[in-house]
Order: sequence, then C-alpha cells, then structure tokens
Amino acid sequence: MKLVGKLWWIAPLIVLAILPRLLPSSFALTVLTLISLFSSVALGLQLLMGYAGQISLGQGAFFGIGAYAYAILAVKYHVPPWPALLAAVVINAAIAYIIGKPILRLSGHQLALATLAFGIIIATIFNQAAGLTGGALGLGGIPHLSVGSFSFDSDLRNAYLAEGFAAAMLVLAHNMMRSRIGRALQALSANEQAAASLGVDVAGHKLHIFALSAVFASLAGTLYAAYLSFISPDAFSIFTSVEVLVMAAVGGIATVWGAPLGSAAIFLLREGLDGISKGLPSGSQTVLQMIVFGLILVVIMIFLPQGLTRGLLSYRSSRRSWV
Amino acid sequence: MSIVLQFVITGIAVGAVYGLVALGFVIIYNVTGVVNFAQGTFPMLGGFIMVSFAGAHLPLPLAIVLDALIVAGVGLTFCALAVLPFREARIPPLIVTLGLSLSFEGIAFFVWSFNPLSYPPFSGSQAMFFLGAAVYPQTLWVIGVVVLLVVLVYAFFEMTFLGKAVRACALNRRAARLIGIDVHLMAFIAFGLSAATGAIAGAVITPLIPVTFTSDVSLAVNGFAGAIFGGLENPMAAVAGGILLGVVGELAKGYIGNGFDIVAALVLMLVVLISRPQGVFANLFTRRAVA
Repeated sequence: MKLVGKLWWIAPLIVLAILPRLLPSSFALTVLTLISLFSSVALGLQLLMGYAGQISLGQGAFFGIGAYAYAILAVKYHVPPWPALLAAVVINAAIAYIIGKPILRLSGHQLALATLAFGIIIATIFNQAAGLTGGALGLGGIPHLSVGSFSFDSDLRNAYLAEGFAAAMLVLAHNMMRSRIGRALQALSANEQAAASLGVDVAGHKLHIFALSAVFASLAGTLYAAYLSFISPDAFSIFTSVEVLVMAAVGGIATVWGAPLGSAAIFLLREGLDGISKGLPSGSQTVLQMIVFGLILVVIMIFLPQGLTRGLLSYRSSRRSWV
Repeated sequence: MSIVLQFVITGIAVGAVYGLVALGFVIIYNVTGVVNFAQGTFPMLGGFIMVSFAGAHLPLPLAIVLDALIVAGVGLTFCALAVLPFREARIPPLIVTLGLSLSFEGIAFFVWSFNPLSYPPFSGSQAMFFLGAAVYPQTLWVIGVVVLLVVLVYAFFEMTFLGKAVRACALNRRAARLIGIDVHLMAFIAFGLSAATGAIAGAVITPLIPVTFTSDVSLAVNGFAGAIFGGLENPMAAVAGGILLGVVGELAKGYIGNGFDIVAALVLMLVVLISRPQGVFANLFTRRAVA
C-alpha cells in the first residue's frame, strides 16, 4: 500500500517530462510556462484562504515585486541572477510581515482591504517611478537564469524550469500540511479558539502563511521576468490579483491539487475567450474576461465553495459510500 | 491661497460623494456583516443611467427617482446573491461582491462604451467666485443633495419603526431575530437603501466628473477608506472620513500628479488600518448603531 502510494507520484512526473516535447508551438510552450508559474501564485493564495481563512488581493503585486526587484537589480545594478532572485524573496517576505503583523490580528476582511490598497499602490509605483521601473513602457534586457554555462534561454528550457518549480512548490506545500505546522494550520482553520486553547499561536501561524504566499508569488514573478526578458506594469495590475483569486477559487481552497488545475482552466478559458472576442471592438478582450471571471467567482462561491476539485472529489466519494 | 481653496472646494464635493459611498458601505456591513466590494458599482450605474435619461430628455426629478429605483433593484439582486446563500458572513460573500463588481464593470463597458460620459449640470455652469476660487452651481448641488440624503438616512434610522428594526439587526443579528425581526428583509432594506443613495450620489457628481466604466474602482476604494476611518462601523465617522479623503485626494492630485488621489487615500487607509483599526473618529461619534 505504501509502495503504491509512493509510486503514484511517478505518473505526474512522466506527464511533466513528456508534455513540453509534445507541444506543437512555442506559443503552446509559453502558455504551459505561464500555467506553471501562476499555479504557484494561486497555490500560495489557496494556502492562505484554506488554512488561515484570509483573502489577499495583493498577490499580483507580490508577483510584480518578484519580477521588478529581480529585473531592476539585474539590469540597473548588475547583480547576478541568483542573488537578485533571493533579494526579491527577502523584500516580499519583509513587506508581507510588515503589512500582515498588525492586520492579521483583526477579523477576516481587513487583510482583503489592506492588500487591495497595497496592490493598487504598488501598481501605481510600477507605472510612475519611470526612472527605476521604466514606467508604462516597461523594462527590457532582463537576463535569463543560468546554472554554470547552461542558460534557460529557450521556450522549451523555461517550460521545464517552470514545471519543475511548480512541482517543487506543490510538494513543499503538500509536505508542509503533513508537518507540525500543517497540523496547527488545519486546527486553526477548523476552529481558531479551540486551536488557541491547545497552544497554537494563531496570529503567528496566519502571519507565516501570509508571508509564504508572498514568497510563492515572488519566486514565480522572478521566473516570469527572467523568462520573458521584458516586463511592463500591465502584467501586475489589480486584475492579475483577481485572476489569481479566480484560479484559487476554481481550483478549490485547501487542496494543493486545485492550484495547477485552476491555473490551467483559467489560461485555457482565456485563450477561448480571446478567440470569441476577435470580432468585437478593441478593449473587449479584457472586458469580456472581467465579465466571465466575475460570474465564475459568483457561481463558484454560491454553488461550489470548495472549488471544482473538492466538488468533484466529494461527488465521487459520496457516490462510493452510497454504493 | 486661492488655488488651495479651489482644491479644497472641489475636494469637499468629491469627498461628499465618497462619504455617501462610505455610509452605504457601513450600513451594509453593520446590518449583514458583508464587506461589499461592489459598493462603487452603485454610483457608477447611477451616473451612467442618468446620462442615458438626460439623453432621452426625461425631466430631472423623475430621472433621478427612476435612476435610484433601478439601481436599488440591482442592490437587491446583490443582496440575494451575496447574503442569502451564506449562513455566516466571512470570505465567500466578499468574493461574490468582488465578482459582481467585476462583471458590472464589463457590462457597463458593453452598454456605455469606454468614453467618459457626462450630462449638463442642473442649473447652468456659471461659476461664482469665493475668495478667488471658482464655485460651480453643481458643486453646491452635490453638497446639498448629500447633506439632505445623510439627514434622511439618519431620520429613517432614528425616527421610524422600520429603521429601528434595521438598527437592531446591526447591534445583534441573533437577538433581533429572536424578537421576531425578519433579518433577511432588513438585509434587503440595507442593500436597497445603500444602492439608492449611492446611485443618487453618482447622478449628482457626473456633471462635474464624467463617469467611465472603471469609475467604480476609485469610488469604492475611497468609500472603503472613508469607512475605515470610522472603524467600518460608525456611519457618521465614515461620512466625515469620506469628505476628508476627497480633500486630501484633490490636494494630492493637484500637487503630486494624476492618479495620486487614490494612492493618498490608500496610504491613509493603510496607516489607519495598521495603527488604529478601530477607526480614528470613533471617539468623536461614540454611537455604534447604524445612524
């Protein structure tokens, strides 16, 4: 039984290894890379929503800081890629702790308001601080990540890097939920007062998981910037934060498998919507996405609050118990 | 001096609208426990619908009443989607309202396009001068209408039986239910009232500041920030907070640059959230009930 449980991991690994080779075009590889990166951002938010009962509308900003910190350090200050990546993580974690510490003592929605404010402020800075960020025109010439003389400079190599990163984050989150910290988080998500009475540091654990969600977003943002070599503020607006929320909601909170599923579903849906809105006036693309994503949020929260994965799993298990 | 005064006067008019949005936000929050992210949708729709009515040459008073009724209907729909399906108000209702505001932005785009829209002011655009600052008649209309609405809302909650029932819900939902108050009906009243006042606020400000399909963002954000000044629960402090933010926002826009009005509001909101989550004006107006 234990062996089967271990072997089960091999199937997705084989899929991950073969998938990039099967994809027909560099465009498809780009979509796969983006799905992988955003699945990690969504995973961070899922952990926060599922276990701390908090919602952040600033994941797009953390993602953006990961991208811009790496890009600015590497392009303007010639910091080598890996130290720049680490610096971005440290900056994001520090911001998360500064915002989170006072806010997370309060009730559930205060963090939503604070991170919304944070997200809009950061997006404005990306746009306005042109000397540092290149403003609305964006920032180019961002170096790829490399190991020795092996540079992640092609679509295929970046697809593998992003997949590997997403898988690593998934395993990390999965294992963390089975550790002491994970059990504490599960306890506090079930009942805060009960968990506190058993000695769980409620505010502390919420704060750590908020910082962890920021770190997940930061790493994904750095890989995003290093892959595309060019970033502009559009990619890190408040709409990106909402998109991540849609991914997490579709995938389902409190299951790590929901993140890649939600991310893939939203990217594929986006491509489909772009196909539909081709004939409509300019600007309709984003607007059509807004309407559809908004409706998805409403429908999922009312009918499938556990998300698609949980919804389908519980459907399966309820059928099994009935038979 | 006159330029500062100019910013302050415009700021008070804009801030009065923010204050009304903040008031609507607090009413909904107190009665239902829902943080309504779609609060900016009401004035946005109110503004757009008035533009359409003005284009159809409807008499002004009739247009405003119809506008308020239509948007109140939207508010009731929001209530049905964000309050009724959930047993307790936590994260899911908040996400529902976020989804609704997103969808309505998109719908407004397809109905009214992306250009800023406006309609003629109520009584001409001949500016009066006050210490060297220009005051437009519409500015006075905005301030007058907002004051009237705040007084009416206050009177409703303080002097009518129904208003007191809504306030009972705000104080303690479970206890209100125990003594036979229909909590769901009160939730609908809160959403309807909040939407109608929001719509009127949007209608009166549109001749001064044209409305676009993304207007709801800055209205909602400043409304939240204003409400945070009252610790989310104190209605009159929320109105005061909204007016303050309007003035600060205009000064920031004038002296730092376009787009910084929102940043100023949000920085203030973050500072208040982090340092005094119970609100800054909480001691000024100590009553916790709705109005």
